[in-house]
Amino acid sequence: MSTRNRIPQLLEPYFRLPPELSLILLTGTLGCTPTWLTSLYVSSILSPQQQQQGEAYTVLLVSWMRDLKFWKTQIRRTTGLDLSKLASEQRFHFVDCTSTTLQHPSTSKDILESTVQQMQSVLSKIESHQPKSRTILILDNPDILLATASTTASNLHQALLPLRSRVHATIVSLTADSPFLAAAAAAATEEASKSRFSPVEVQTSAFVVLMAHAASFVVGVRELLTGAARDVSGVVRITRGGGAYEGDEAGDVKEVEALYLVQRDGGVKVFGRGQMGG
Amino acid sequence: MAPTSLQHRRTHNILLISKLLNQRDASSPFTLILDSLEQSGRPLLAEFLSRAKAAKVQTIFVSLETLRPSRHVDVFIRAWGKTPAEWRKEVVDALKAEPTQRKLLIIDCLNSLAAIEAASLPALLSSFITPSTSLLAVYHQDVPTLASNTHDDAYSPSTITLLKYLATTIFTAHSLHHVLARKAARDRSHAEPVFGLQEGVEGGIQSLGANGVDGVVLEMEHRRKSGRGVREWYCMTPTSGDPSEHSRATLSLLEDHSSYLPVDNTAAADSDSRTESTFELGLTEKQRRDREGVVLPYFDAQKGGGDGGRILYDMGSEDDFDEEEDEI
Repeated sequence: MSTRNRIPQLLEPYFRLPPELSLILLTGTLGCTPTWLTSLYVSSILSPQQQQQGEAYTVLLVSWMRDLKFWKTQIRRTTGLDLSKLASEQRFHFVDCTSTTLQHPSTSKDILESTVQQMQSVLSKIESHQPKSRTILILDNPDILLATASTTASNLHQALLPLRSRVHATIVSLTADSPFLAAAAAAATEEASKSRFSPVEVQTSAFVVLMAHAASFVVGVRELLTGAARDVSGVVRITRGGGAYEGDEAGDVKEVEALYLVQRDGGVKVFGRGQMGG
Repeated sequence: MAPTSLQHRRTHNILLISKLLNQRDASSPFTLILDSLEQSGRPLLAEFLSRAKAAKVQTIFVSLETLRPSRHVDVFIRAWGKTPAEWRKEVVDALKAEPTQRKLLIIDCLNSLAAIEAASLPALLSSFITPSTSLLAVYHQDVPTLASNTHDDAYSPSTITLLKYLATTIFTAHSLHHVLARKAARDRSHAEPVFGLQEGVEGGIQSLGANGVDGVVLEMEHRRKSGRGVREWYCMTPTSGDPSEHSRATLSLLEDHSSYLPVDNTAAADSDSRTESTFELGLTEKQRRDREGVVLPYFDAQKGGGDGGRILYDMGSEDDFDEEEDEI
């Protein structure tokens, strides 16, 4: 297992272990997915250095978009961590929701309920096996549930709260393309009554906004306004969410906007505007 | 003229907001906090909680999105993971206990409640308000709601319209950074910048400067019992130093914020009045009043017009009256 530190220096403060019951929101667009951020979070939590420093941490990754095989290759390639080994040590758990969303197309409420039950049972298993370990719950694109009209934003938000209260911290990755956010942007300017949005637009944007209101910080990746470039993959912006005011850590999160480049080997470089990536 | 009215407004409105925050005289039965991603209402909620603690008002916190209660909360009711009937019963029980105690009921996310309750929300909220209980609720303005397609409520107003109508005080939270940036642009006759979701940047949900730690700008609309409304913009600055048990934020009018003062103009006006003279050329308020009070002689001559060139003369002691020459 490699011990190389793959976290870019500029982003290091945001990869410290999150405070208790906090929420971190990762957003991306079609052209810029935040999977590299998710892998970095998994590896920073499970890295041997972290584990040596004290309490044991467990990761429960629930993915609606990508299967276990993808995450295994992605995380091994970018950070050198072997997920199979960690899974056999009971430190990494995976719930595959890539197909569950389509299992019961007729009874829509059951999909959310069965998924939540599945997660609850995994959490109970972790709690019974490793009572001292702290669990970080990572949800990859739960907004698929909204896109497939399986549930509503409010139901999903309410269903996540009991799960979030059982784990140490939660990391959620969502899509934030402008078509998904148009309804929220209109709601804030009170234009909502004039323009009609489809249920998927409304539910997805409502969920993103609700999550950002609860998040202690939001890490957003997006494409460059000028289009794709060879030496820049996109822009990463970290802002304080509504949850930043909770607890005594208020004001600890510094906002940042920088460019990043995902290299061919999966390593990521983060640098300020005008600076060179290399 | 202007400085005295500002002074009056300052004293009056600062007093009003501290009365509202301290829950004095039940001045606002239903306070609504409107916030957005750019500025969360949580600092204001925390201020309400800490002041309620100091004023010995019992706080009942109904959580629809909060996991960990603040240390100032007296009763914490989790509404998630329960049926609406279950937590509503808990709220009613908490409100019924100790009927003489002043209580503040807090709902942290009306959006979730509106999604569950929809049509019956106003009735539900009104049922919680009693003479000894005030309601404080947060509504996230940028969470869209699905426009209803059913015939029953196609004409009914949206949740936010209803809430704004019901509320006796509305606080809208704005980011201090954004307000100052807009003012700076306005002062230079530039187009005012937009932030956050309005920016329309692909993949950007918040702007830099959102949820700042230096303070919150509050737009207040308070409706008095008489029906008269008071509108004011405040700046709430957190007190520096250690967060002790009763640390309070400082409240001031937005105009009094150091970055909001028209710095250049006042400096110019001051230097004008002090040009090249050691004399005080202005008048004090007392001097002005005294000057207006002086009755000039022969003032009554102006009243009795139309007599032609009549000479009015008061005889002095040294004058002797000559019947032939003098006529009065």
